[in-house]
Formats: sequence, structure tokens, C-alpha cells
Amino acid sequence: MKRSVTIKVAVIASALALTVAACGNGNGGDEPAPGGDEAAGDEEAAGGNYVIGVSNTLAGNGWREQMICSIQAESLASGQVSEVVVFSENAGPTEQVQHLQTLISEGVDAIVVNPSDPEQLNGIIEEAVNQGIVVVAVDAAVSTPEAYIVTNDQVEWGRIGMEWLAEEIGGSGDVLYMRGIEGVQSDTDRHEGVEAALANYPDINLNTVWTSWDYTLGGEIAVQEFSARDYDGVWTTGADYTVVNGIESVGKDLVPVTGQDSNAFVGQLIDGAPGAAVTNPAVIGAVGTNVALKILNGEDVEQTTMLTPALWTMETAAEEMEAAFDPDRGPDTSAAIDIDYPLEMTREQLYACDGPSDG
Amino acid sequence: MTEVAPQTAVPRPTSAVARFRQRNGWVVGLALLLAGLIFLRSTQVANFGGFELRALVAGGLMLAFVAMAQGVVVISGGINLAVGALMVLANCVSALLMEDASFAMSILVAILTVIGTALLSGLMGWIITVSGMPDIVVTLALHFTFVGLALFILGGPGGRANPDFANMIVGGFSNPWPALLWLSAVFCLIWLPFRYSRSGIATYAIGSDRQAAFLTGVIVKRARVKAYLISGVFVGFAGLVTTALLGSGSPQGTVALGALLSSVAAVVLGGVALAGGRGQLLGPVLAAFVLTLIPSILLSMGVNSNIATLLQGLIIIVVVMLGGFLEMKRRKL
Repeated sequence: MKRSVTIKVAVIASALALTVAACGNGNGGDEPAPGGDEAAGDEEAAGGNYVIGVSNTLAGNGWREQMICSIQAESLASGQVSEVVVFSENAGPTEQVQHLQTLISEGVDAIVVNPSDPEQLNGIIEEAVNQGIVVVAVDAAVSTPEAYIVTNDQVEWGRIGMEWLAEEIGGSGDVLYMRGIEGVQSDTDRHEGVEAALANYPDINLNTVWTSWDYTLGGEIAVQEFSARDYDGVWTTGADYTVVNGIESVGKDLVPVTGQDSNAFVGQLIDGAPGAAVTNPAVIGAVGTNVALKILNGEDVEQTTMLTPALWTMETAAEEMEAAFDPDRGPDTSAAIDIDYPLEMTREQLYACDGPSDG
Repeated sequence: MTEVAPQTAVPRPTSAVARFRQRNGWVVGLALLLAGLIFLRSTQVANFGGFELRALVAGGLMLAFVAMAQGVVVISGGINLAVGALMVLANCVSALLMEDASFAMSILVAILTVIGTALLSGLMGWIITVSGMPDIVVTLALHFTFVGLALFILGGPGGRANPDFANMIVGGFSNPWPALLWLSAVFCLIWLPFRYSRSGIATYAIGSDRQAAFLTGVIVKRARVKAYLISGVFVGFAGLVTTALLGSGSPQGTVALGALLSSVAAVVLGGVALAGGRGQLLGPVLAAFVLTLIPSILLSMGVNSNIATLLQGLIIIVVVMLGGFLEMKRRKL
């Protein structure tokens, strides 16, 4: 009788494995599986049969979700992609290597990756390129020359925001300097730009705080800082609209705030809050997809594509801001969708977030 | 063990088969599950072979070692929330020291790294026993300390692994053997001798019942420190594997946190009782590979990766509940 329990464990364990297997087979019928069915299923559906793999290691973040949607939408709009395989979960470089290996095994034609580390993915990226896969790193760079890089110019991003702020407050005063995460490349780059801008404004004093690019934390820090003392301006990264809310909730007069093109912040600027938004478009994912498709079609593409950020204030860019702001969208989505790079997808396709294998 | 005889009779001795089942039933079930999943994966990939196996073995190796590190401490009746951070520290220090180092120097660095993490972890255990503070508090505090230390030492992403050293630990892209060999070597040459030594038996004894262990003459404090010491050895290997696999160091707090959470998941899925004193360390090792394999399998099925994360959690809960259910039935017999 006791022995039968052992057998039961074994039976149930293998049954579980088989159930999982059965689910897989069931799914295979519904949508084109990668590999074999590709050519058959998609000629009439999408017209193309490239498979694009996506790897992202920060899930649930508004900006990153929009980046993935832009990859889906651009793939659909291009008509050259039969499927987008997305790997998106909170993870570090070790897991991301695992994800990239899985995408290679899936037989994808191109990989669009938002790298979690500038060095640690080089080995697996080179192996992917070895196997004939096009790899495009978006948002942040990797150091291997085998990958194509598509990023927003983060040094310039830091510089133009701080330069505007310094001018706005008359070249001197106290600035609350809200940085992101210590040791992460884009934060280091932005800091470099800020220092370059401040070289011309020696009378500006910075008080540095760290927000971890967390909107809630950024707002809380703004409340604490503004309760304790006064500032002439605030330079933020990834914490803009909650900082404006924070200053208001303390009951102080608003001071100029710089941030990125998050939807709620653009709305606040339109409503009269002093400040400037520097664009950091999440549709960088679509640009990466576009680059990958060009390479797959044999076109020559520069190894690095860098988008130059634009500075939006109500004085200089009211039209763009009103076009970009959408009260129905989430507060932390990136409002800059019409960018200085020709994309196939439309705004509606981006919002729908459907890829070639959806619907 | 806990069967209470209805009358004051001497309990019947359990048969060898029953003992084997009691001790290894979970591990055998898990091994079958893993075998099933590998088979399933092989049907998903057109040319299943060395590349996929190496991806699984080398990719899961770090987690396997971290799971062992967590497992030892859990068996001793404690918890170690600093395993992830110590792994990150080992990764950063070894990557820093291996930059421009020769192969022989890299080996020396590797040995020193393992000794270093073992001593740090042992020190952590010593602080816990001497201060009398709960292990959960001390290890949590040191988690932040170790991450900070790694950031302080390396500053940002950097360092480099000696290519020959990396090859020796994790092999080329289609060669799963080195990783498998290292795992077996550490398990058979470090864990098994420890497990069957007096110290190993003491580890199980204090995890099962600290008071009873004390009364039978086990020096509880020393046994607890030893559990942390051996845990540090496994953490050191985990850090070296990360350095070899990724070729550099990355002092990220999120990496430490991810490794910590996965280690607890692997321990639970591996059938080690969180109350301590029961379970085989092979369980967490197998569980680490199960956890590594599931995301790939779900992705190949075309499951949306947001749902895949949810399913992963559900699978752990279902498997553990299943185990609990079987255990309950066993006790009623």
C-alpha cells in the first residue's frame, strides 16, 4: 500500500508533464507555431515571414510596455513579419542570456533586445550573430561590434534639459537634481550631459537625490525636500509628473521642472505648470524593428542609430505637445510618438498593441 | 517519525523500501518531472542537441548553486536572505581580479573567492548565533551590505573573466559537459562528504529539533555556523559561474534579489521543508533546472510572457500542494 504512493507520485508528475505537453499541442493549432508552419500560415495573413524575438527585463513599466507595443505595431505595419516572440519578465543578465538562448533555439530571424548590462550579453549576442541572426540593442548600448545599436542620445538628453533649466532660473540658484539608479549606463550618460551644461553656469548648486526611476518614490522625495527647504528648479529623470504633484501637495509655488515626455507631465505643462519635457521616445522599439528589417532585406545600415532628443516647452512646442498629449492614456506612457524617424506604424496601431500573430 | 503508536508498544521498524520512499520520493518525482520537461523541450526545438542542453545546464547552474546554498541553511532550521547578494559580491570581486589575469592566476582568484564567501557567510552565521538576533534580520541587513560592497568595489558594470577559465567552467555554446561536471563535482566532493559527516548529521538534527539536538550532545551554535560556512562555499561557486557565463561583473541589487527569490522557490519546489531538518539537497538542484526550463517551454508554446510568469508561480504552488497532499495521505496510512 505504501509502495503505491511512490508510484502515484511518479504517475502524477509525469501526468503533469503530459498535461503541459498537451496544452502546447492545443495551442499550436490556434496560431502559427514558430518554424514549420511559418511559410504555410502567413503568406496570406501578413505577407512576410520573418520572426522577430524580443527580450526585455523590466516588466510592468509603462515606458517599457510601450516599447514592446511599438515593436509589435511596427512589425504588423511592415507586413514582413509573421510573428513576434516576446520574452518580458523582471530578470537580470543571467536570465536574459537564457532568454536570448531560447530565442535562438526558436529560430528567430532577428532579436530586438533591451540589454540589462552593457558587457554581459556580448557572448550570447555574438553567438546569435554567428548563427545568422540580426541583433539590435535598443534603448541602451552593448559593447560588442556585432550588434546594431538604436538608442536615444542620453548625454544630449541630460544636457539640453539642464541648459534650459539654468537659463530659466537666471543662471544661479539651488536645483534639486533627481537622478535614477547609480551605476546604470543611461544614468551615467545623462549625468555627463548635465555636467557639460553646468560648466557654463558655475553659480548653480545641485542637491543630488536618487529616485530609482520610480515615479512614486520620486514624488515622495519631492514632498520631503520641498517641505524642508526651497528650490529654484528641479531636474528629474523618470519622476517628472509626481514631482510636480509633490510640490503642489506641499503647498509651495511651482518652480520650473524638467522631465521626460511622460503623458501626465506633458498634460501638466499644457495646463500651465512651468517646465520643459525632453523627449525620450519609447517607440525606440519600433525604430529598432525597422532597422532589423532593413538589415534582413540586405540594406546597409549604420551600426549605431541615435535619436536626438527634442526639448518641449509651451513657448516653443505647444503644437507638438497638444498633439502628443492624450488624456485617455496612462500617466507614465511616453507621449512622443511622432518622431524624427520614418516609421510604418500609426498611432492607432501602437495603442492597439497588436502584433502580426494577434487577432 | 511522528507516528504515535496507540498503545505503549515498541514502534515497528520501517522497511528499507519505506525509508527510501520517505527520504527520496520527492526527489525521484522531481527527477521524472525534469525528464518529462526536457523531453517536451526536445519536441519543441527542431534540432534539439548540445546547444539547448548547454543553455539549460549552464544557464541553470548559478541558480542550482544558490539553491544549494539556501537549502543547507534551511535544512539547519534557518534562512539565508543574503545568498543573492553574496553571489553578486563574489561575481564582482572575481571579475575585477580576473581582469588581465592569466589562467593560473584566475584559478587562484577562483579558489580565494570561494574561501572568501565561505568565511563571510560563516561570519554571518557566527553573528547570528552570538548576537541571538533572528537570522532573517541579520541576513536581510547583510543583503544590503553585500550589494553595497559590490557596488563600492566595482563601481558599475565591469571586470572580465579569463576566457580559458570561462571555458573550463561553462564550456562553449554547444558543450553542456563542463557545467554538468562542475555541478556533480561540487555535489559529490563537497556536499555528500559533509552530509554524511558528524557535522552534516548535526545540521539535520538542529533543523529538526534544536532542543533535542542539544540534549543529545550536538553543539548547536557550532553546527549553525558550519551550515552557513558550507552555504558560503556554494555561493562562491554561484558567483564564479556567473562570472564565467557572463564574462564580467554586474553589481545590481535586482540581480541579487532575483537570485534570492529563485533560491527560495527552488528550495520549496525541491522538497526541503522550510521548517528545517527534512529534505535532500538534490531536490533544490533539480528544481533549479525545472525553474530554468519552464520559461523557455512556455515561450515556445506561444504563451504571452506576462501570463507565463503567472503560470510559473502556479506550477510551483500546484507541485508543492501535490506533495503536501501525498504527505498527508502517507501519514494517515
